[in-house]
Amino acid sequence: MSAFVFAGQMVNFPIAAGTSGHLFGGVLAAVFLGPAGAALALATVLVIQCFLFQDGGVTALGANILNMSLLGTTGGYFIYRFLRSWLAGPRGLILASAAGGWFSVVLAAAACSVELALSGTVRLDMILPVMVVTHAVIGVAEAFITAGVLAFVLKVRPDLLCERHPYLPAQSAGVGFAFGLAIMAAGLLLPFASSWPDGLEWVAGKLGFLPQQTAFWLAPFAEYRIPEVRPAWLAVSLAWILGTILVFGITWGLARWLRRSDSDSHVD
Amino acid sequence: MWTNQRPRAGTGHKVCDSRPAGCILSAVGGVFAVNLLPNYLWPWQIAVALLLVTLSLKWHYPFRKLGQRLLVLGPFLGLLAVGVLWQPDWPLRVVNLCGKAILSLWIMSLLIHLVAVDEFVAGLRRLRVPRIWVELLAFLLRYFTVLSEEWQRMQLARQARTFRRRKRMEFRILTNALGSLFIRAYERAERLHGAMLARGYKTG
Repeated sequence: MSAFVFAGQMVNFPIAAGTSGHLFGGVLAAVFLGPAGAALALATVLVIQCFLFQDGGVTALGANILNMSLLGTTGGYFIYRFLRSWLAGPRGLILASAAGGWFSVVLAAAACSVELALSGTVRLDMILPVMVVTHAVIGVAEAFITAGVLAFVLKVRPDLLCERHPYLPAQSAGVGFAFGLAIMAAGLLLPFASSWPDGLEWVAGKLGFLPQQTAFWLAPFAEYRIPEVRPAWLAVSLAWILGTILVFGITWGLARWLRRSDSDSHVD
Repeated sequence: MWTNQRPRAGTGHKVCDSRPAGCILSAVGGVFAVNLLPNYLWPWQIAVALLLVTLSLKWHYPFRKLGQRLLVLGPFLGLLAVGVLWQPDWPLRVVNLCGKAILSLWIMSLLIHLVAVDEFVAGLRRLRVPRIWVELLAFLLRYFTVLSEEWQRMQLARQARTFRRRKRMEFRILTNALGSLFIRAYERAERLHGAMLARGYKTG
């Protein structure tokens, strides 16, 4: 485990330079370390950025880690794995990694805009196309750099590229396949998604259940407010804090559970 | 760029020397507090700013650094502010967005000004951050400068070989250089890990 992680932090450096320029190399790291190690490595880089370089917010750190190091990296990696099962040989590896790199950037951008819209800062139908289109362009650079670096390493030290990772057993390849397919579909359809809510609303209005549907998926605290607490600002803040603790608790519990179920197949 | 030297060398203040964990906690708490302020209570941000000015003056925080950071932040903030313009109560939102972003950045920048690198890592340890992750962070911090110097050396060596780049080859040169930095980093990590094991480092 730890040789794996130590190698991981070394892989970080090219990434650390890249993340500032919004190229994050998650797929590059994932090809060497597997998705778990790459996610950890990228999360470290993000933390250093926000604490030491102040190039990212502390309160947005969770969202950043989710977008870039979890969604971007694992999503891109599964795309890579999926394409890799079709494309054999070194050329296939490079092509698959390029595609994975592109998707990882676009996916993270889409996730970021959805989060921004959910927080009520900006409107989804405005931010999503902008973010996805700009990052589709940035993603091309990411794809080329991922492919170029991998091509070089493949030529010089092909033994560094481990195709079988201890963290991705053979059984989960099917899951990865499905996940990759879903992400690919989502990624391709996202640019068109902005027109959907309107359609949904139209249908909802036609059928006459528009008022009820808001109550259905709103959080327990409507407008981030606990109704019984006064003054109002305290209510808002309390709701915020409770929400943060809740999400943290869920994540923590999930991590503990995953770790326990992982420990019997642990490879040191 | 941030270096391995103690950032506060020469200024002589010892605020966070013995309690880095407390400093980290209060900084993070401060950032959360600033961001938790509801939008209509924006005048309180001025109070926070005044407090920060006082602390910065007391601890000799270089304001130029804040300016540099703000220059980096500016474009992103501007982009987001433009996105907010379509909301009905946009003046309030823009004021809050900019104010909170600047204050948060200031707090973090002040924290790094006060806490040296090794103390920062020690503080995280004290706060019971998982060990493997603290180690990861410490190594990344330690070797960041080493590898960025290696990168500069590689560039210098290439120029010394009277290397002239052609426009067409530029991209291939960049990726090959990155790839070889990658391989060197990987090999260094393996050597280092072997050395640590030989000196009794326990895994996991």
